[in-house]
Amino acid sequence: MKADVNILRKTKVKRRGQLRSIWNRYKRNKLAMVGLFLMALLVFFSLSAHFIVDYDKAIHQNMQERFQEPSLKHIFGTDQYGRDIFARIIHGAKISIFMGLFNVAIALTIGSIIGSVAGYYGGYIDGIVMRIMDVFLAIPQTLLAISIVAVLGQGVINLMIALIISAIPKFARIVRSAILTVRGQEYIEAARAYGTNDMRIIFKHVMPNAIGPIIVQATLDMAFAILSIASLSFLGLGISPPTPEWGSMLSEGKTYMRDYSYLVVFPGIAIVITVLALNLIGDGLRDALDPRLRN
Amino acid sequence: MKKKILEIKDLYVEYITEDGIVHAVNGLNLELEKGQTLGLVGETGAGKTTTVLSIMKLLPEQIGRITKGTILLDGNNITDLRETEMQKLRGNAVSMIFQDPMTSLNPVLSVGDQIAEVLELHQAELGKKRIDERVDEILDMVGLQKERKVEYPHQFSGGMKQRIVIAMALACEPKLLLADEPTTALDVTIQAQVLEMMNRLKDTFSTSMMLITHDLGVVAQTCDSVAIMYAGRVIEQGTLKDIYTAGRHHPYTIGLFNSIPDLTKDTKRLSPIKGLMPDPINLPNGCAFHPRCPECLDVCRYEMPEESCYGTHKIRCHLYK
Amino acid sequence: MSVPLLETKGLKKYFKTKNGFLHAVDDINIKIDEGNTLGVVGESGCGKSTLGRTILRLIEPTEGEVSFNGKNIIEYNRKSMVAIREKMQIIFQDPYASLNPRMTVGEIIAEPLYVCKITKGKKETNNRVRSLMETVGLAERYENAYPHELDGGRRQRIGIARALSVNPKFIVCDEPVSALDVSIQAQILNLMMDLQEEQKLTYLFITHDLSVVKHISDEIAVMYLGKCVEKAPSKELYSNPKHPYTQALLSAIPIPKLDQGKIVNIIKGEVLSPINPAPGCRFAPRCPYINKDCTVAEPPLCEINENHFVLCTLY
Repeated sequence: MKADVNILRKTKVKRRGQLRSIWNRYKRNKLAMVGLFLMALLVFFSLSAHFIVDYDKAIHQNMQERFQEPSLKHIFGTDQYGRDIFARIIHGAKISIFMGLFNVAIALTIGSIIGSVAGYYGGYIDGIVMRIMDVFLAIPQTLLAISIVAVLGQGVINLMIALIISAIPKFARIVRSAILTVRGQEYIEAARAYGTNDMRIIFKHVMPNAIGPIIVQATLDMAFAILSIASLSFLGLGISPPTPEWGSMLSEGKTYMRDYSYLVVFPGIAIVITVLALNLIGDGLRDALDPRLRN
Repeated sequence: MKKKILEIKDLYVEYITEDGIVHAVNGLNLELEKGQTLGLVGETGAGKTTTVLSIMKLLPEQIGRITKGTILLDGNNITDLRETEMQKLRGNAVSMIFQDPMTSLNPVLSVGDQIAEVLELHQAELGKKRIDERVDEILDMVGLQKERKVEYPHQFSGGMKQRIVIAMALACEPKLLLADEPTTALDVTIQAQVLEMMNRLKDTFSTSMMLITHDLGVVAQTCDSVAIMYAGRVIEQGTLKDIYTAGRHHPYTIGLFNSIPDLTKDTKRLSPIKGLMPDPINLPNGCAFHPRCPECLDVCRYEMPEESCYGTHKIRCHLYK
Repeated sequence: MSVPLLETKGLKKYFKTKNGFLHAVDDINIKIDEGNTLGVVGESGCGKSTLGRTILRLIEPTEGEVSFNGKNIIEYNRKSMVAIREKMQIIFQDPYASLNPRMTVGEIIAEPLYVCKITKGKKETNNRVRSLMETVGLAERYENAYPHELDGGRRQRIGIARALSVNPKFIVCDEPVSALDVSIQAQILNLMMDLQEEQKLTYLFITHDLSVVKHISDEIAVMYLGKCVEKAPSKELYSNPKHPYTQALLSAIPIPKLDQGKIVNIIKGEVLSPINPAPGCRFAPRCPYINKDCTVAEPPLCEINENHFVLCTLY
């Protein structure tokens, strides 16, 4: 066996960075790469929105140019106030994507803390915390968000608060169940046997193994948040006009949908692409984060 | 010469995986006479389970395939049988017992219904009443009260579940029973009970059996002949006496026997085989055992040895020619 | 006589279930001297794994004492417990579930070094990890491999290296070879015996397989439904088993030899539920030598030979 070992030593397994091997696995998933590409495109547009088209074009009303069909001058046409739809979509991307991200980041953090405490310690803490979460889960998420906005009043911040509160229970539940499946594993016991404290066990041993379903939920929830912002705006509870936002564009355009279908088609496509891209990324990440799937 | 229930000639099976082609079985020859029990012995990755799945034609679709060789069941070539014809044979002419009794029973059907289902599939002509009686008889044979047939799998212990699985496999009195590590998941005292029962039932039904195991002790208790597999080939086969008495043996067989702690002797250290099973994607040239073999010759590194016969005893090793 | 390294007195662990108390470990008294191995043998559900975990306080006992070096560690608070954990380690049965799949081999072995602050700085840690890998016979090239890329035998070596990393004195080995192939089993058993000799380790070796513990143990305890039914020096137990259960266990082992093959003495029935056990001997319902005393009260533990204890009314 010694000789065996010596021969093998020459072909030492290369040190692979954690991120690098995740990226290698992610790359192999074609659909996920498409999703990433679409997302990159959207982020690029939203970041450079000001350089592509003037914000002014997106909000300035120009009654002479109402209901222009898509043309070279207005590639997506103009709406009932003569505002350029392309400009509104590009600037709307900024709002949708960053509100979506922000919403998920905060809901995920709070939800993870609640879920991991409940899952890891179990017992009474678990019972009380999760029953409270169940109460929230019993109310449909959109309805909950609507009620919260209705109570707090309209506005971007209140909209965010509503979306975050309504998303927390979902994250808490998913983190808790992920932790419960990991908690019983023998490597957790091994870590306790050499005296690891609870915090380190949660962050070093439990979380990395529970992250898969959480990441997927996060991307799906971001898609959901973007849809929610759109639907709340559609209902008139979200972003107030004239700020360009995809949902409110749909809402405003629906009156003229029969005659000027492009008013709803383009924002609709924008929403579909974003949600699709996020779902593809989520699926790809779930697979990529698991080293058991070979490189 | 006695009639053979199973004959496998020069069988090759491959699995196609992302990492390459896994050569699970590489030129396997096996024979099983009627009414006999053959012990197929080998370690993880030796190709034991693949062999059984090939006989049942249950290799995972798209991934596993037989590339060469023939399988004769009771004189009929089943290698190219279509799925619909194979379905008629499975459970009827040949049945299989899986290793894990916990997962091979359907948790939402009562055990009586599960046994009856096998009979309804293959012996529908019996009629409902007769099938019901058969279920009672079969349960009685495996030592379970017939009143318990309305219960569900989770209400039984591991040993009892394995009895039920065996009852299902024997329900249609198959000519050949393939048992894949039937007692590995059980406690020793329960294993002894189940083995004793299997021996008894095999005689009552005059079924032939192929017992797959890694445990040479179980083989000694139940089998008439033994085949030892390594890296997809049978490297030594013969009657129980051929294999278990000292004399000419393949170095792997010797290594296997030495690895088992001997209860009757007082040695402190064990003598394991050095090294590990070869990677079936990348098998060594020549004899697959040569990197671990203490008696490795030059010729072993590049040439696959032929089988040498000594009566019923066959060894595939360059040491014996 | 010196103080035994590990001693339990009246150790009990009852789990509360819907139908009553599950007597997983019931009044276990064992002693292990430094450098020795106690084998604990029993079938599934006899409480042997719970015993190992209770000794390490991975599960808190219901009652009783666990003394390590003469001090009762059950009374230790959190802080002193962390300090003593370095001295007591565990090796698990399942080499798949016992290694964190998201960490590389090197990281797994380095983790206890970091947590227990045994090495300082990256370089010292790396050196220690390499020397540990060499000790257990793992090629250095696997340092950056993930556990799932290795076979069972190598994985078990990682588990052993992890346990050894903190320089323990006492290791609970919970079926460390049960999931491995016979030829690999022998390799790992030899490794464990070598390590014991080199590092003066003390083992509590838990297994369901009587043939495995014979070689490694100095003394063997046989457990049945939470009770220790027989305890004797290894040689004595194999040559002169007294308890009917031990006899049945021994005779049920299939021996790989001609003519010795046929089983002589099969015990009937199955292990009963350990929830709210009936009074009397727990083996009584399966025992071939049952008499009326067996179901009345628990038989006393008697020493029939030097250091040979049996829990049975026959003696």
